[in-house]
Amino acid sequence: MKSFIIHSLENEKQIIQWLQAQDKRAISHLYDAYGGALYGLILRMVQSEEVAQDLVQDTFVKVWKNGHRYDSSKGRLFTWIINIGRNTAINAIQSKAYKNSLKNQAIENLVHSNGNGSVIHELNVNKIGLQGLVNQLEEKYRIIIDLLYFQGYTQREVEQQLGIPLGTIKSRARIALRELRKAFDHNAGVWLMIAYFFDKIW
Amino acid sequence: MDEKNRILNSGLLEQYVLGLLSPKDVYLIEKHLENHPDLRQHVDALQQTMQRVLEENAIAPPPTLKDSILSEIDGLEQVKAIQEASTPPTPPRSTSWLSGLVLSLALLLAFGMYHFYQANQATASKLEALSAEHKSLQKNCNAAQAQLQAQYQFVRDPDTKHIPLRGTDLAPKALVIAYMNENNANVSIDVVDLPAAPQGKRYHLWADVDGKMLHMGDLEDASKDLQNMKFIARATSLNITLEDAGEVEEPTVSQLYVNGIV
Repeated sequence: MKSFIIHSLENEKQIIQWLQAQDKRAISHLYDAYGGALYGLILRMVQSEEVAQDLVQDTFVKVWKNGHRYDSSKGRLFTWIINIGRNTAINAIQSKAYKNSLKNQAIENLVHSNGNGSVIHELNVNKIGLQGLVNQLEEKYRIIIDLLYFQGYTQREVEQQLGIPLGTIKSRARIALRELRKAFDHNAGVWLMIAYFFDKIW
Repeated sequence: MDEKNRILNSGLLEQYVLGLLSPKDVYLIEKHLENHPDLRQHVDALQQTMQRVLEENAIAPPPTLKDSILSEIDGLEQVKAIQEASTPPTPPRSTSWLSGLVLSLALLLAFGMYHFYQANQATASKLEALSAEHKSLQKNCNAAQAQLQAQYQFVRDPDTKHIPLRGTDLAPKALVIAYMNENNANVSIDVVDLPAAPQGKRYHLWADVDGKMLHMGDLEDASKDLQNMKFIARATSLNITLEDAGEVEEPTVSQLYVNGIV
């Protein structure tokens, strides 16, 4: 049942032990389990395969070096790894080399005047589309998750580019996450029901 | 209870999960999560949701990437291994006098090499120890700096109220400043001037809420740092009394040293 919900690590305890002993078997397993999720995120943030691969590599090396710092009482291993990756990517994006890159142009493509002085924005904001739960969100919430989380824009940047007040952005971010959680719970419930009936039939 | 609901309604937890908080706020939120296990559970549910979202949007990198990562780690491991001590060379054995001479020379050479090898190892391990110490000091420095930075930002925050608690007749010149921020439910105090607590007694901070005195924490002796206290909503005044050491249920009103209106 858990496999329908999120990818759970087999022998997670063993992996954490390896991690804390700087045993690279941890990295091999973690890459297999989470490398794709990490790459999907970073690629959307930096919009370059080469750069994204370097950043994924940097992330896993940091994970290997700092394994002893992971404290399971403070949160999930997946979250810890993803945060290292996301912060690594944000630092890369904010470096000088990126100031005039594709990324900045992408958000400008979103916004254009319709001639009457008001601003409208594109539907598919991400060059690589998003799948799954996020698409169950209303557009105004999905855009927030896309821009803030998957593309690494700051809330101020979104405010400036799209003309949405900061307070609105913050409250939409909050609602987006709550709606995602509801969709997650509903989904899990649906699978449970299907599994239940499947069981009954067979 | 109030503090917890305030945080739940503030939207800060969702901001935290989406990676939108400043380092100062991350630090403060993580403190709250330590104090409230049900907040931590709420955050975990949100993080679980984000894990699902990320996994649904996974993209497989090229197969060469994994090898590249493991190779880099191999390289780093080898560097570590080279720095670790290994066994010194052993001198050869022989019987004839020429061999004896050669042996002596070889021994001399071997001991010379050994001596320099040892010296080098000693230097290398000293260097490593210094490097480790430096890293550790730097880590401490960074941690201390991060904490000071967080406190500084907290005090500068326009939503943080500055509440002076002035001395009563017991200590007319006493002064404690409280910094209270309702948005992130944080309160810290700065003991500017308070008589030292006598042996076996401690100062306690109370919030007056509708006439009832609610405990916010006790003060560490002789601490010149900002001291973090428990946030209590709708306090109309803050009060510090001197009490006996140990658990205190109610403040001893006659032992009120400083107070101030919120």
